[in-house]
Amino acid sequence: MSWKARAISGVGAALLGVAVLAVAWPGAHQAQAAGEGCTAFLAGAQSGKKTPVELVVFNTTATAFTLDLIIRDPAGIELVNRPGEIAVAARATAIVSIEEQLSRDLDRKTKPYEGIVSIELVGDSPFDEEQVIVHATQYFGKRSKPKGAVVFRPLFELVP
Amino acid sequence: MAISRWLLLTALTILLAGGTALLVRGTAKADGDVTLYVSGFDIGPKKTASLRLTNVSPSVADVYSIQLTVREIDQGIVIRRPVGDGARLFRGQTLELEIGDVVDQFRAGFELSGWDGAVQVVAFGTGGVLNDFGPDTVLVEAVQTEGKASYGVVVEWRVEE
Repeated sequence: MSWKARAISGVGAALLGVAVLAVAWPGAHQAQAAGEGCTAFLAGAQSGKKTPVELVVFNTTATAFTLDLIIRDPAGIELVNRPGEIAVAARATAIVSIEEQLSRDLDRKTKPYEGIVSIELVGDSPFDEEQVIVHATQYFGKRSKPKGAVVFRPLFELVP
Repeated sequence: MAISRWLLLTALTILLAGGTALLVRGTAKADGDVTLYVSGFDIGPKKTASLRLTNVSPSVADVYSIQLTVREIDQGIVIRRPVGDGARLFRGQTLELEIGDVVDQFRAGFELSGWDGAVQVVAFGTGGVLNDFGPDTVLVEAVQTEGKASYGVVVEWRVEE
């Protein structure tokens, strides 16, 4: 084969490679964006009467969705597991009291769990890092008159 | 000799294609509208939600017109729409907005009472000549105060597709 023929075949192969990349790149990107859904993990908040925690989910999309809510203690034991608990309308924000979640099913005499919690939110698309803003606010003091507050951000993981 | 020519041509073609691809991607990113989302604000009596935007663009030509939409959180209903041409923000200037006052002023125009409750804020800017409104040109501080607590709320930039 002459060098010209090799050059032409080389250029052809390179162009073919670039074309395949150009077609595949956006496709792969969109596949990730429109994936099955995500899990968001929040850790380090301390729920209690004097340390209320509020979970905030801001849906920036025009599509409503629901989320499963799981709350665990530091040992990983489930304190709450409520599928479909959080419904977020399009362009709306859901605010969830972790204290209320922990005390909802208990009778009046039973003291709800107080201490460090980790929060897991599971939902289908459009629930992901790019389209939904998730955070938890830890208040110190009464919720109505807090003495201090700190905001926790989540770690998102794609659901395979 | 023939093989080295073949390699040279292939390498040149790949470089050319790669450069073109980068150029196209860069242009596409610059053309996307960047929106600022602020989550965690709460307005009403004895509560302050402060949003400060500072134009840190390297170019004096980048003067942004800032528009603000505020929504209530339950259904995402707009309680304050963008008004007129927006607030001008020159390089080095800081635009300080008390979200409660901004919402109440807007509602007063419709003879509505002030708003009390959690809100979500969306801002966008137009008018940058050399650099678009975005995280590289605008510094954002969003602080909520209630009771004795003063804390930063969540600020996120999103490229709208």
